[in-house]
Amino acid sequence: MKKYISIALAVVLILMPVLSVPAFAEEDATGSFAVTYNVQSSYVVNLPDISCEDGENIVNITADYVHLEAGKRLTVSIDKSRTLRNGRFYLFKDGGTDLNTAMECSIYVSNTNSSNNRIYAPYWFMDNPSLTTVAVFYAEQTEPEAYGKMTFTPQVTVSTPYGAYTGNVYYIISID
Amino acid sequence: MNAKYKILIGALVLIILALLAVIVIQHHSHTDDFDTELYEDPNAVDIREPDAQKGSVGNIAVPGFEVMTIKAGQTEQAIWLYNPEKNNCYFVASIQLPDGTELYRSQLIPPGKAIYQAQFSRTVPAGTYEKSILQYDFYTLNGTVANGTKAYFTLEVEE
Repeated sequence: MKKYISIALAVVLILMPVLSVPAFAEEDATGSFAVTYNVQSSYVVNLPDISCEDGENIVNITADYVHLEAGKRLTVSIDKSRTLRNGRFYLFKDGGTDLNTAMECSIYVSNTNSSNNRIYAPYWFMDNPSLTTVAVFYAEQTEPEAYGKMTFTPQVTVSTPYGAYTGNVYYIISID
Repeated sequence: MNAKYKILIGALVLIILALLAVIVIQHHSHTDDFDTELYEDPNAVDIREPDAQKGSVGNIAVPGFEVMTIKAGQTEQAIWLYNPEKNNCYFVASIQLPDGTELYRSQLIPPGKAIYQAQFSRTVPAGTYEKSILQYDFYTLNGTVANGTKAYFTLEVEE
């Protein structure tokens, strides 16, 4: 009988570590890596993490750093192919994808503040399909040289059904 | 005495069953909210570079590269893809050649984690590939698809 108890206790002891380590198992595995890498992050751009909420949303695009050669610029633009449906930006009801209950949302792009050098005129994204740029950074800038402020204005009407509306904006980042 | 042993054995059996139940529940709680094909990338480890932790609350901090260098003729590659610690979402990162051929796709990279070693799906001949693509798809921490980015960079493949 004692033998059975010993076996049962051994099983419990074996299972205990399994329960205690899962959150750290990946970290433990790092000890055996011999890592070499030869890339460095050139930039970190801060993009809005909202999926548009009800009411007007104003968001700014900034950078933590932009390490580029002098004269090069980093451009953030909207990826129209992934963001728009039928050429418009929609917020979808309750996480759905049905256009019949979706709400159109306008996107206005402008400079972050009046002191910025206005090398581009503000624009309504939907009315200027050829324009997609939402921020331009030159080397070592953390505030955009041009644009950088996006205003999302949902087109709420009396017939808009009650619900939570969200939409996703996809971006393209290029250096030239 | 026999009765005591029976009670003890019964209690131990119950404990073992309870522990097994906890293991099963823990396993399922990590996967139920997500697409069944997505899980936390086992190669995602803590970010080692302090400046890679930067980010701003309320935004998604998106790191990118002007140039990335890999080795020709091998699929095991040393890279550096990371999700800044202050982000409140998962990243799924993919690397594509300019013609759209996908070389690598991660699983979910949690905030504060990085991929340093990656298994590419194919080898790439030596050369310079301008307009290669680093795509990030963002997922909220409960698995909902969020925004995403596509960043162009130069892929240098060395002999």
